[in-house]
Amino acid sequence: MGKIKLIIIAALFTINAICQSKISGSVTDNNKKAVISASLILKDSSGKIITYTYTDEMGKYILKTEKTGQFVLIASAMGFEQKSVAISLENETKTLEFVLLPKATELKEIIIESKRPYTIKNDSIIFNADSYKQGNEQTVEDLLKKIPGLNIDANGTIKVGNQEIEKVMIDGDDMFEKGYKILTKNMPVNPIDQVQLLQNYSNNKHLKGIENSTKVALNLTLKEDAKRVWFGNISAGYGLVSENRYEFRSNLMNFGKKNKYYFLTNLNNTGNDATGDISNLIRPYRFDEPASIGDDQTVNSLLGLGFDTPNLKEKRVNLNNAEMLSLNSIFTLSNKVKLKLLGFLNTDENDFFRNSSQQFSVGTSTFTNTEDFIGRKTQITGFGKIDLIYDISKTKTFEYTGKFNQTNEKNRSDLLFNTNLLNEKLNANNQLIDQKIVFTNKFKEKKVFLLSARYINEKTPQNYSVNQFIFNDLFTENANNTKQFSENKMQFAGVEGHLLDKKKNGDLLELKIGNQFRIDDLNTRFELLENANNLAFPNGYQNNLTYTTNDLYLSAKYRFKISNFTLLTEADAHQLFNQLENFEVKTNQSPFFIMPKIGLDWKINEKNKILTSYSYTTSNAGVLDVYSGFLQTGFRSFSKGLEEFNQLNSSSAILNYTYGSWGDKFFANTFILYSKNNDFFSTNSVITQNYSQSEKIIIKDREFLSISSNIDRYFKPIKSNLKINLGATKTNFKNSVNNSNLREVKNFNADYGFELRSGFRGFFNYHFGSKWNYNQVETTIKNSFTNNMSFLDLSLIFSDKFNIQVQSERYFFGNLDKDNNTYYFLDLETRYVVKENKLTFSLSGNNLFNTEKFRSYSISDINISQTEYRLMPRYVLLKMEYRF
Amino acid sequence: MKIILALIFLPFFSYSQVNYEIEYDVQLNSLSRKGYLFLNKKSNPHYYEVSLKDSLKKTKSDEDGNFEIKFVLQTKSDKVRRQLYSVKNDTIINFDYVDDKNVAYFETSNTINWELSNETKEISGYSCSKAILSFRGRKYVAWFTTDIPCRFGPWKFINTPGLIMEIEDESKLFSWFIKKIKIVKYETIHNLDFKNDIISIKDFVIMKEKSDNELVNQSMLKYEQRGLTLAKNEYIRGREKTFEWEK
Repeated sequence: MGKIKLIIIAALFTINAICQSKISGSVTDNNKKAVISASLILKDSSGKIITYTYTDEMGKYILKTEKTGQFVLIASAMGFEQKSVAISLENETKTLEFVLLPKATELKEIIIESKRPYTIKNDSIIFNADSYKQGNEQTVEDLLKKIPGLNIDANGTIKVGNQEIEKVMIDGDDMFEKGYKILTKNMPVNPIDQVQLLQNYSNNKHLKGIENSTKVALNLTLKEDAKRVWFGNISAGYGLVSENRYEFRSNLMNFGKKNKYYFLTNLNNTGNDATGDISNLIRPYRFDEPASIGDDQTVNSLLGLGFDTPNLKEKRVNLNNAEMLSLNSIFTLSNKVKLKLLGFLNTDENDFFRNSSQQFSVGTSTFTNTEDFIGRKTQITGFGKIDLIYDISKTKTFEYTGKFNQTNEKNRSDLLFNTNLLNEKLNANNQLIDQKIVFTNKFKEKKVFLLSARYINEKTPQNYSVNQFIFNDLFTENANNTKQFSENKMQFAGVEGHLLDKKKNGDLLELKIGNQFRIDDLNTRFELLENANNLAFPNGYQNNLTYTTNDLYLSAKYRFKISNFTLLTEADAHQLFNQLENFEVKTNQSPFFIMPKIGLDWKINEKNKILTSYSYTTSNAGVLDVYSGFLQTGFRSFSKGLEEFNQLNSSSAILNYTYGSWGDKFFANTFILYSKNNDFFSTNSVITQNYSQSEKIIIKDREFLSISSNIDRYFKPIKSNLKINLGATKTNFKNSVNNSNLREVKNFNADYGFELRSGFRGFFNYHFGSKWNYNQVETTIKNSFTNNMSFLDLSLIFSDKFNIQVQSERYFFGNLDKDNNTYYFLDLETRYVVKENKLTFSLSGNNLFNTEKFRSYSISDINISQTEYRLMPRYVLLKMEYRF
Repeated sequence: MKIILALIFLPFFSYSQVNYEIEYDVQLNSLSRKGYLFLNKKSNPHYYEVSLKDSLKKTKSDEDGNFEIKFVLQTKSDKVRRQLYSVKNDTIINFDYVDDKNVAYFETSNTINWELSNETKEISGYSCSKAILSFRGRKYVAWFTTDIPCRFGPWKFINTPGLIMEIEDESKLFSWFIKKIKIVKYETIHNLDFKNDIISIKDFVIMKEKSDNELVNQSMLKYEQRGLTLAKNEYIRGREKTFEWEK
């Protein structure tokens, strides 16, 4: 009995559970045709949707609900009048048929004003940091890796598509320029509110959308309540099984809404150029940008001690001991005023060891010079830069930039020249004061006017002395040592107005008017001494020159687009006023000339693009072209200028053809440059064993042709990219040696090589390649050589924590003797991450084959030389990186 | 497979008296798009997204302004992702491409389960109700109106009680906002050229990610510097973060 009861209860329960109402039926139109996908919505008395369904392809529907009470069933379909039926449901099954009538009038078009909660600004894409965080990010770089469209390589280089970003700013302030990795690799992610990707970026905000820019930049905004914290990293390394090698680097930063600080230091004797990290800050790379007046104004020092190094990796050849400390800060003084300060102090000691032999064959005379050179350069540099930015209004900005540099250099050498042991001393300084103001006024929506003014004062005094006298053939005095004091001083003052006018159709008109004034003072005193007593200041070896150039110019540039063509036309008119004051003799000249330029870009289609340009240039001689007395440029060399004014004319044409794009399997790019100098500076030189003297002469017609091509092909089956590079240059010119007639010098140089690089997703990757270089110089005789360099790099990534990178190279010099013509290098670096983004150990083995000497071979129109350099010997460095 | 397709594309009865073209403002992460949803008398509803520069290519119209837009799906030149809704099977047919290869994959609507809410708001004079959808790792909030009784929406968002006027995911990275509803005279016709594979959605996801990773390689490898280890970029998924089989 009990059992039966239980069954009944269970049965009742089941009935209860399936207790629901079922409504079914069909929806048809007035022609009794089924209406498909008509919606049937069951609403309760309050209008709440209880359930809904659609008709199937037969126009049938079934609705089920467990609810009971009063409801409304609405049937509707697009283009039909809706119908509703009131029903009451008490767990029952109902059938309801609907016949829908077509809508009498149907609107033609409905435009909906939707309000987006956020707007997408043109050219800037905003990513909310929190939306992309997955919780395991620590540094800004970790966050950026999560943002689609950004590619970040293992070195930290950030690319949008294939283009590297210009900079990473914080709240619109930039402290690092292209050295942004220091920031992205170290800054903690917590204070970041938004990541803004700025496309068509302009360094001057008022030029945004007006100048033609393809640059991209990132801006990170900080959360309002973000706490200011000091963060940074320390990296320290010490030589394990080698002589004393060390490196120490530290970055320390603090960013607040108002003030931002960045300090760094770099100490090393491992060949690293300590100022390399901030070179972008000292001289920001700005190409073809408005308000760049004076950027091309520099003064060259006259003499160096032959501190040349072979073309190998810096860490192999730079025998240094560098110390650098840099302090940078940005202060937001008010909403409108910002002050940026940058300063650094750098000391460096570099050693140079070189043995060379040069075989001269000039006309009938041949001789060989040998040099055993040991040199040391000691320098100290102090640099400061101030930027003051004042936003007068939304459309007007005033900027001041001041730069100050002081470099003191002491150079010493012991030089065994043939049988003479020379001792060279060179003290050289550089003093620079550079001030610039820029006023930008965006006076109309698409029109901007910039007014910039700049003053530069730069000096490079040099004191050079040699304790031996090897110029017996040149001077009759009975001297036993020589000295040269030189001062090369430049003052530049320029002012420029620049109007940019972007037309409605996208064409850009630029007008520039300006005046640039430059005074160069060149004073050199070459003296012959016997011990400390002056014997003579030889005639013809002194300079006292003031060269003044004033360039009043007007430049117009118009860029317009017609379908697939972009045409750029430019004409610069220059009125020069030159004055040369040589030993108080003044000469003047005021030439006028126009320089036209035309460029045409043709985008044939998505795959084929052609860029061409032609320009005719007139260049005014610089101070080092016009001086009249010989000046010493090396222990055995003198040179002199032309003693008069001149402007040289040349024309050049460029053709660039691109097939495909970086993202394609096949990508090819060819570049052709042809230039012809109607007249150019050549030399008339006298070359003897103990000295060489060259003076500038003007020769007609020089030709230069350069062709280079590179081809990339990705092979899917082997997941590798093959790169082929081909290049050739040819130059023809004339000079005169040892009073010969003008002789023709023909140079031909060809480069060709390939690389294959894998892109496996696994732990192993390879990259190898080989490159040949053929050189030929033809005068009355012909000399040539072929060198080769091959490399093999392997990358083994065992895990996120542990990886090994191996790099190896082989250099081969075709014209060196068998014992000295091949050099091998091997470097190895392993990294072990103890704690991600916190502590990393690495072991780097450098020059593991311990190749201590490297001989290179070169030819010119006067000699063939072999030079053996001493390299950084093998060392193993244990490094620790700690981020805090 | 051909047989299944043939069944799906059987001509079927009209569910609408006129043809509609519904335009959406689409934001997919950093990309701005236009989305078009076509509701036709003669063929299956169809949705696709194009960049802002591109617009609909309309072929010539006859005197009455009647004309047809032909979509030749599954041809090499058709590098557009499309969704076709098969009413008969309540199935979404996705047309996509991997490298240069066109593929199609099917998915049923049973992953799309709306949770209706009592909240309402007005959008452009339409009374809209809120619905919430958790779909493949993202949570979406949609506002639909029963005034326009359309079960089809942008992308894979189907089977709401009425037309979706707005839909946005929680992170605000992905959004679709309605812009225009047009009654049009033209028909969209789907010409199917099925030489290619019909694959499973799982195979598609695997193929697609592999191919996208390879594309990154293809361009990264062109950079010249030696010694750089290539980034092992994490594959960043978009709208669909997790799939059913991954749970």
